[in-house]
Amino acid sequence: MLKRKVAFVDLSKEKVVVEEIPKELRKKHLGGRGLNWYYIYNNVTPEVEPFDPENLLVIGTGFLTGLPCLGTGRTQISTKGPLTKGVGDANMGGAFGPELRYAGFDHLVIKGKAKEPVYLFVYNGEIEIRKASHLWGLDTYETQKALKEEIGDERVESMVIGKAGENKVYFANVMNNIKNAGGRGGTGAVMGSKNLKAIATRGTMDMHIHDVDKFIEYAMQMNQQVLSTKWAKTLSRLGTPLLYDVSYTTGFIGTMNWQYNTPGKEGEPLEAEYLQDYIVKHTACMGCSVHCRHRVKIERGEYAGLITEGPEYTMMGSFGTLVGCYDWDLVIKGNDECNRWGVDNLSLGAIISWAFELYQREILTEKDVGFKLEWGDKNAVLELARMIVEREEIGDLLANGFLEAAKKIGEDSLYYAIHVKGQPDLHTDERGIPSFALGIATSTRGADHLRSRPAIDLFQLPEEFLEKLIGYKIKSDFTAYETKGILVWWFELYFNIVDSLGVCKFQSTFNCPHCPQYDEYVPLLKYATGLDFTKEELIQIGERNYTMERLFNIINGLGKEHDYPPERFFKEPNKRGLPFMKGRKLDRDKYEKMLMEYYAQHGWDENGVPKEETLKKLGIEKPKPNFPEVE
Amino acid sequence: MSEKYEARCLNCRKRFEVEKGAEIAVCNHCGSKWRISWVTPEQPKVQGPA
Ligand code: SF4
Ligand SMILES: [Zn+2]
Repeated sequence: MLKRKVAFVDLSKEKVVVEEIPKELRKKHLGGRGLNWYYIYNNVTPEVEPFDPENLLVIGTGFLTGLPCLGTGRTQISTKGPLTKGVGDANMGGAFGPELRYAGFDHLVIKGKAKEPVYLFVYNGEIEIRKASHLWGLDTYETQKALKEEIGDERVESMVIGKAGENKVYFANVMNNIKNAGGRGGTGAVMGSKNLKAIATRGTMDMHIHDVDKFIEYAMQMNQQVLSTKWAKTLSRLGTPLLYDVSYTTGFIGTMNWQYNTPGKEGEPLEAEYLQDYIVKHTACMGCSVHCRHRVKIERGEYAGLITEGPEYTMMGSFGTLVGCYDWDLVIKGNDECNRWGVDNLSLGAIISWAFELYQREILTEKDVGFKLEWGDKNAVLELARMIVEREEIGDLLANGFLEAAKKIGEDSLYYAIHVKGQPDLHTDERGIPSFALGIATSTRGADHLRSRPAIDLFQLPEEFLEKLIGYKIKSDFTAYETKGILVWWFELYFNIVDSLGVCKFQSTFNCPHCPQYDEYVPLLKYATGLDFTKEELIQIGERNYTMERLFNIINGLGKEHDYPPERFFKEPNKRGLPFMKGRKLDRDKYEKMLMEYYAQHGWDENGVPKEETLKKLGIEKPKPNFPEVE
Repeated sequence: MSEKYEARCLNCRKRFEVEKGAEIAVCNHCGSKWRISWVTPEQPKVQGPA
């Protein structure tokens, strides 16, 4: 497990250099997200634009990816992203990462731009750059099918882009199989800018687990720990749509572009229970026993006969509450289209709902769009989505994200865009939950729920229990601001470790306090790799990795002024929801204090810049380019 | 006596008792009334407001 390989691929020069990943880098960054950002931090200078050939696209498997524990089917895809011009980063489930490891590689560091469309074929220690002009224009399902046929092996796993990536839609993603998305940060657009249609891989190489017997025994124990939780039982039956029941009932689900915080009674048809009518089976990422994914079939109506996978909770906002549609058929149909196009459905939905509100306010007109954008009109939603992916007419503008589109539409329109650092927010409405609001605001990749969201804050767990779990005194009340800076800091570091190990967040402390965390990762790492880490060392690795992402953002112009949730959350109170949610909005002074508490906890100054002493303690130096010269 | 199970109330966030198979239940802490669905025959959850 220690003599793993990184490949540096220069698409312009059509050259590949393979190196062994030094043990010292593992001790400092683990793998996955941590190592990805080590390579980008050192090699991508601020003058490099996201679509410049000099930008890097780094594919990384976690240090535990591909092993039979805790849903380790994860792959991290990182780049300087087009939406934020800073950290662009995505984490993908499925089976690509494990297969890449079985093919002998843990990280692919890709730069340059191919002269014509190409794909990489990674097979048992070898990497070939192959022509892909015949694949350009195919959707993500067709591309993967063609690759399996062409290579002549059903077990080939690929990560591919669809039309959105080819068209450099700023929020294009990468896909593996039907529904595994490296969703966020526009990594698919950067892949498209490099003329890289796909990476296909197949491997039969040994992983060299340090102590197989002990690893298997402990991993099985961990899997049992997860499966025995109420959370895993609910997740394996309902999937992430289970979150809808809580958010729409309580009143923290963005509705009609966050004008409301729940659809109320009107939203009842989207309750998770009603998805059961569509489910034909449950599926899972490689090595996972939770099985949170659905294969669904629409039996009746306009889209009858459609069989696909998903949808996740994200889609229930994107093609649901955000656009005033409460119809599982549309959510499933839209999800399938997004998967084929290879586009982040979360960002797409937020951009579409923004356009709908601009239409409602007559900032956009029928003449601008070509048709009416009326809440609840599913054909309008699907058509605008298609136009964005195809970059057709107004879709071309919206495909560049909020910040660039607002420059043309009018700066006032930006108030209605729910984003942080240019990245659209999940349809959660964070104005009543300060810890969630801080989390989306400080997330290095822009607004996001998977970088630090302390979902367990909603359970109002006893404070003694929280102290034992987190190691700090945290207020139980989820509407409180005090101590939530520490809570978000804790989850930022923890999620970084989760992403650097390549385990699934749904099997972490994210939504369930009884799932494994640091104490369990220490023996898992020991048995898998032979390396001894203490819990404190893992926490420090999380801090080091997170601080490098923060530095990358600062170098690229993203500082304290970009650490705030959308202005709307400070100005407009919740109009609906349970009595304690109604009327809530963010308090500016309290938010500011929470932000300062958070900076201090990281060892950053009052402007959110890491202090010299912090960098010294973490051993972070100035960037030093180390992409090997290839001639 | 009928069997009792627990679900988490979305209003007061506390766990409250639900009778086996019940479709509606009232939180004994805050009085909120909920529609209930069953993840397993032993595990109820709040589905939405009643
Ligand atoms: S819980 Fe779901 S997302 Fe996580 S590894 Fe299992 S199937 Fe994949
Ligand atoms: Zn209650």
